[in-house]
This record gives sequence, C-alpha cells and structure tokens, in this order.
Amino acid sequence: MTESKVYKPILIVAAFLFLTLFLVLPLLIIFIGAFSQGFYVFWYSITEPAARHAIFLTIIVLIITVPLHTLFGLTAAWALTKFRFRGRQFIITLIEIPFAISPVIAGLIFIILYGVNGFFGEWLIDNDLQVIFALPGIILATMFVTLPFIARELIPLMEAQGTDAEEASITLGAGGFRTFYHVTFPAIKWGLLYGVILCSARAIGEFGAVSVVSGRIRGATNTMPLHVEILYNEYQFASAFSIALLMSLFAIFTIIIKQIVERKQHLR
Amino acid sequence: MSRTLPGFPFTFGFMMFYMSFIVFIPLIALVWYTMGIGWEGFWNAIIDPRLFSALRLSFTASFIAAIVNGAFGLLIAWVLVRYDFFGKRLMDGLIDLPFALPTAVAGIALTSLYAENGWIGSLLAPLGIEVAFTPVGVTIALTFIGLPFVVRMVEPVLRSLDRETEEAAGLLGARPFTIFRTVMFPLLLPAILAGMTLAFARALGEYGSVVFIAGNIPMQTEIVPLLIMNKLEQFDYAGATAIATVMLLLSFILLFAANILQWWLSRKIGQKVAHSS
Amino acid sequence: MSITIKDINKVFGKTPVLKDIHLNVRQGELLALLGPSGSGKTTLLRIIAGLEHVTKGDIYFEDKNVTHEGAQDRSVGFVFQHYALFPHMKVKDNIAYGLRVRKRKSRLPNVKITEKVQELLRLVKLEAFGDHYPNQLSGGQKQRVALARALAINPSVLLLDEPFGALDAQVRKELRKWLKTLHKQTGVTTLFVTHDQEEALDVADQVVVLKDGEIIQRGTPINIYESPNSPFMYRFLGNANELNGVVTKDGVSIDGLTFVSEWTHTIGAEIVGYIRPHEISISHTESSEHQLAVTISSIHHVGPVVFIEAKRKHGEKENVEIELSKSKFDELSIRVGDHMYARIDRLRTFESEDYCI
Repeated sequence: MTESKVYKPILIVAAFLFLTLFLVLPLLIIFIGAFSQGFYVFWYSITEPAARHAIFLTIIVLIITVPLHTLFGLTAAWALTKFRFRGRQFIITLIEIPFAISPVIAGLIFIILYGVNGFFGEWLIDNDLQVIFALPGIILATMFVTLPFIARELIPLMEAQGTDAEEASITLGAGGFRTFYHVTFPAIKWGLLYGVILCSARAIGEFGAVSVVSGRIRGATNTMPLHVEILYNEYQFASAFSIALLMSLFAIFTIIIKQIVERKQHLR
Repeated sequence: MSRTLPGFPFTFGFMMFYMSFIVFIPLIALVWYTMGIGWEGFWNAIIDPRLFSALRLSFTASFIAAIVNGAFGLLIAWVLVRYDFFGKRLMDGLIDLPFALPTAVAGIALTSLYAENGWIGSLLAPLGIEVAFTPVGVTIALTFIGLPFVVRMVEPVLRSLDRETEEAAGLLGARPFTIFRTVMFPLLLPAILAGMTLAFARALGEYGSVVFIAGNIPMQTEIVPLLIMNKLEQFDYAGATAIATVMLLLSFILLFAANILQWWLSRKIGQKVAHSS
Repeated sequence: MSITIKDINKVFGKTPVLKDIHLNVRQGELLALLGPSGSGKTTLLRIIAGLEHVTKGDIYFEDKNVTHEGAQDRSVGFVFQHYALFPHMKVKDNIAYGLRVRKRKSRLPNVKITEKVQELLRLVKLEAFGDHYPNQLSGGQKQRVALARALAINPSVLLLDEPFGALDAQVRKELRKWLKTLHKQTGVTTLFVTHDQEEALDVADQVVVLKDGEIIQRGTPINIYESPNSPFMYRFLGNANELNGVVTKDGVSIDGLTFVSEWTHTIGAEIVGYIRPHEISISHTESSEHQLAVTISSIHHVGPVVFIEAKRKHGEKENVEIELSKSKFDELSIRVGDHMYARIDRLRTFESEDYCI
C-alpha cells in the first residue's frame, strides 16, 4: 500500500546519493590517492622497510589475537547457550562492554595497568619487561577492543540452534568433541567464518587504543594504521593511501565474505 | 541447565578466565585508579574550559550525526527492504563499510575529500562553506562511522512488519504518506531510536576517523578522546583518567535515558514489535 | 450496495488463479465464498477490495465501474484473517482510524468521532476495552475490534477473510451467531471467505463454491447441501459414500441390485453414486429392494450420533458409512459382526468421466 511508483525512484536515488557522498567517494579517493604518483610509488610505499615492518607487526598482532578470540568465542558461546544458569544474560552483556568504551579509554586502561607509574609498572621495570610502548601493549589493547566480535556472531546462532540435537548425539554415545564437530559446528561454521574475518579486519585497523599504548616509534612499534597516520602527517599522501589501500582491500574482502555468509545462512 | 551436555566446567572456566584477564581486571584497575586520584586532582583536571568546549563539541556533533543517520538509515533500510533495483546487493554491502574499514583510513579519506582542495571541499569552498578542520567536518566523520547502526536495526523490523496492517490502513482511506506516518513510523521508531543510540555511543568515543578531519584546534575542534590523548602524551595519567571518567559517566547517563525511552516506547507498542527490535 | 463482477481473470506470473468469474451480489446479501485452499477465493475477495489488480474483467459497485479505483477510494470494510490491528494504538484509536485519516473537509468533528467509537464499541460488546491495546485482547475480542474498525467508515460492502479461521471452536460458534445478528442489524452487503463448509452453510444466505479459480456452484445453503452438482461437491461438503456401478436399461446396477436414478445416463456407462451416511437406514431383516447386504465392522459413538462402518458383502471391498441417532442405534441394538441390510432410497449418480477431479 505504501509502495508508490512515484516515490520509488526518488527514494532509491536519494539513498544512492547519500551513500555516494559518505561511502563511495571516500573509498574511491583511497584508490586514486594510492596511485596518484604512479604504480612505482605505490609499490615502494608498501615494500619499503618501515612499511614492511608495520605490516609484519600487524600480522603478529593478528595471529595472536584472532586464534585466541576464536577459542574464546567458541567456549563462551558453548557455555552461554547450551547451559542455563543465573547471571547468564549478564555475562552476555559484559562481553559487549568493549563496544561501549572509547578506544582511547581502552588504551588508557592498559597504561594505568602496565605504564611506568601503573599498577605493575615497577615490577615490570625490575624484571626488565616492557608492555607499554611495545608489542605486548599493542596486542593487549587490540584484544580488549576486538573481544566481542566472534562471540557475538556465535551466541545468537547457537542460541537459535537449541540443545536437542546435541543431547540426542550424546545419548547416542558420541563424545563432547565429536558432538560439537558433527552437530554444532555445521550450523555455525559460516557465522564463525564471518566473525573471524570481521575480528581480523578490526584487529588490523584498530587505531585509537593502539595509538595510546604504542608510543609511535617508527620502525619499532608501528602497526599499519599508525604508519598511515605518520605518513599522512608528513604529507606523504600517496604513501599513506597506499598502506590505506591494503587495509581497504581487506575491508572489502570482509564485506564480500559477509554477503556470501548471509546467502549461505539464508539458503540453509 | 542442560544435564546431558558435557564441557560446562571447562568452557565456563576458560571464558571467565579470559574475560577477567582482558576485560575485568583492567576495568577494575581503572575504577581503582580513579578513586586514588582524590577530589582535588579530579576537580583540577575537570575545571578546564578546553574540556567544556570539547564536551560540547563531542555531544552536539554526535547528536547531529545520530539524527542524520536516523533519517538516512531509515531511508536506506526502506529502500533495501521494499524495493528491487539494480545495485541493491552493492548498496547492502557498502552499508557495512564503516564497520570494516579502519577508522584511520576513513579519517584520511574523508579529510582529503572535504579539504579545501578536495573533490567536495573545492565545490563547497566558493560557497563559503568550510568542512575540514571545523565542527562540520567532525560531524561528517561521526556520521560516517555511525551509518550502519540504524540501517541494520531497522531492516529486520521493517521486514517483519505485517503487510496486512498497511493494507488495513489503506482500506480505511489512508493515503500512502498517512499510512507511513500513522502506522509504520510509530512501529519502526523503537528500532530507529535503538540504532541512533548505538550510533551516538559509538560517535562519542570515536577517535581515529575524527582526528584527521577535525584539525584539533583548541577550544574549537577538539573532541574529548583527543583531550585524553593529549593528557597521556604529557604523562598526566590522573588528568586523562578524570576526563575519561566524566565522559564514561555522561555517556552512561545518556544511554540509560535512551534505554528508558526505548523501553517506554516499546511497552506502548506492544510485545510483538519489541521482540523484533 | 450490490456488486457485479464481470468476466474477472487474474494471473499471478504465469499461473491463472481466477478464470472468467461472473458473480452478482445483491444489496444486503450475506454471501460465503467457499473453497479449498488454492481455489482463488481470497484473491477474489482482495480484488473486490482493490488490494489486487485484475488481469482482465470489470467490477461494479451498483452501476459504477470501480475496477480502476484504488482500495483507498472504494469505501470497503475489510476484516483480515489475522485482524491486522494497529498494535501501537488503543482499541478506540484503532476504531477511530478510518474517521481520523479523512481529509479535513469531510472529517467528522472530534466529539462525533468519540461518539461513533462508543457506539461501535457497544455494538461489538467491548465497551470496557476502549483503552486496551490489541495485544491485551483475546482472539475473539481482536476479531470484534477489527469488525468495528471496518464498520466505522460506514462501508458500502463488508469483506471478511476467513473471519473465524484463527479462533478456537467455542468462540467460533459464538462469533458466527453474532455475525449473523450483526448482519441483520446493519444490513451491509457482506462477503466472507471460508474453507469450512459447515461455517458457510450455517452463516450465509448465499454460498458460492470455488475450485481451481472457477465458480462451480452457487445457491442457498439448503440448495447446495441438498443437490451438489458434482462428485467434487459431494466430497467437499462432507463425507459421502461412493458406490461404483453400471447403467443398465432398468436403472443403475450396484452389487447386482438395481436402483432407480433420477438422472439419465447412457446405457453401459460406468457411474459413481453418492449417498450421505445419514440418508442410509439400516435393519436386521431384508424387507424391500434397494438394500445392500453388509457386515458391521466398527462402531463409533460421537455424542448424540453413532457412526457405523459396514463392510459390503458383495461387490468391491468398499465400506459403507452409516450415521444413526443414538436412540435409533439403541433401538436396533447393533453389535460388531452383525449381518444387516442397508437401505438406500435416494442416490445421486454421476458418470465416471465426471469423477476425475
């Protein structure tokens, strides 16, 4: 009743215009900016030593954060959806806390804990360990910010799944891991995939929290987003956009995965 | 509690251990540290005109961004749910860009676009409109990062709305716009507000996409997270914590109020709608 | 207001759902559109309301062609199967909706609207519920609100889609009675869709039966029940016994017994005869012709009636179902295994070609 032939084109065009202004043009300018001084500058920008080091650090953060969060997501979802206990809903809410906290405050928290004047500051100095302004701080801050992503994809899926099939499997004599692998996993694998990819995208791109704890020492504690910031502030726009382009490609990959996953889940 | 399924002790134990390590202990440390600052230190950090101006900017820009996202989020959700057109999947994918794109990347892209010599900035400059390094620029960045929230909240509710309710209104003589205003909009409102609340909360704490376009001029385009950053760079942890506490408290009060409003609305509208939102 | 439907055709994609429908509904009639699911009855109702466009054909309200008028302009009262009440409005605001959305010029003053709403609440016996929200009401109450809302705009025609479909048996019975009374009070031309033959025969003055997008029979409830015009109608209207036989020059031969049929068939044709369970009488002794020898195979008591299943002695393995009143059953003292004689006075026969549904 409310679908009028008159409104339809107007509304669609309005939506596209808005999205062009806010999403398409920014994306486009990254591509154009990256190649604004030719392919050679782009290639140099992503392969020069500082860039390589930033990419390397980012990958280190990724391969520590994502597998741990995956394990956390799976165990948390199992405990929170397959069992009923008091405080269950409260814990589900707690998992989302990092969403509600500014990344800058997230970084601040770890400075308070591990900074020179922090709770563990003296102990760390005595033992010649460094967390803040070093890789461990970056990893901790990233882990805090990205904690919810995998769990929050899995919890609704496993909640909807119920426990009947698992209970049947157990009563038929299958063990816990076998039951998980054959009964639970097939239903959540696409959601898990998207959760993992989205978590990776956020881990790669985390800026505020990492910015606080990194100390921004070029070539020592720079991840990719921090490297972009430094290049941009030094007016090396083409180089900044080149690194930005790499991260944008991963973002686009994330979106494509989401589209595929939604289609798969829709068909199931 | 399921009696037959195994694994509760291990999975629950691991979950609690992990969350304690990553979330609980750090948060408790923050509270502990805040209490240790003392009233005087706290007060000195708070009574600062720069903070007042930053709070005003953060809240107004986030609020305006949430309003813009409320309106356009509804429009986009409507178009995605109700119409079929070429490029629909592309549009659907684009919506998630702000979730997936690193904030720093968004920040430099938006700045380049809206700077005086940028694609859009150069069009606006002759009209006397400056975007980059003004509060308008801050608002644009915050609109960008909050864009998906309203769309993704409204979409499922809109999809679940009963077509017959609209038909009933039409049969009673209501014209399309009246049907939208009197029947559909009230039913979508809780979802719109929920999305706006999320966008607003996200915008308040946002740092990466804003610092580039804001220009960070004291008393003019400084946002609260940037002030925290400044204090930290001067190793003034107490000051940074005090500001963080104020911001957390203010946003907590606001979110609480928004939740009350939503609860009140959805109670008015009935369980059917509340469940789907 | 009378409705005239001329040669309506409706195609969804490539599937025809309504074929050459002609129908006249007189002013003040209460008409049931009866049919199995997929027969096109709801589509026809939605076309009359203006919720679907026709592929071909015309609709007239009185003499006015409304085919190309939108639903907003037809002034039709429509009650949806699942009520489609506005969940965010109180009952009284639901009812007032149609009055409030009118253009300012033709809108009643607020006081009048309030009065009218009170009047309608009384009519549907929900005076105490004006300030409730729809989700606080039972199914039957929601149905009545939906009706009041539809009546508020003084509709020229009232259309109801499966009005009792979502209700439980008790409420359904009450509402049926109430709808009949309401129709008498208001005198609005009313059409309702149902798949329940009992409901159609009980409530309506006129019944139109649809099947596969075509009208296959129309008449008064008595008319429809007494003389179904096809094997389909027999089967659809309720369980009827099917007896296969052959046409001979003396009449119709079933199990070697000859019956007289009121219908003419070509000699030698295979026929199917239909008889309803309650039209069969039964006795322990053979007394006249038209009797089938049977063995009682099972007995079911359902309240005041008794259903008996009996196996035919000759002929095919088909069973015959017989319905008796409890008193008649007690009088005959029937037990499983008894050999008895079933008397068939009236048999409606169709040649086997018609049989294919």
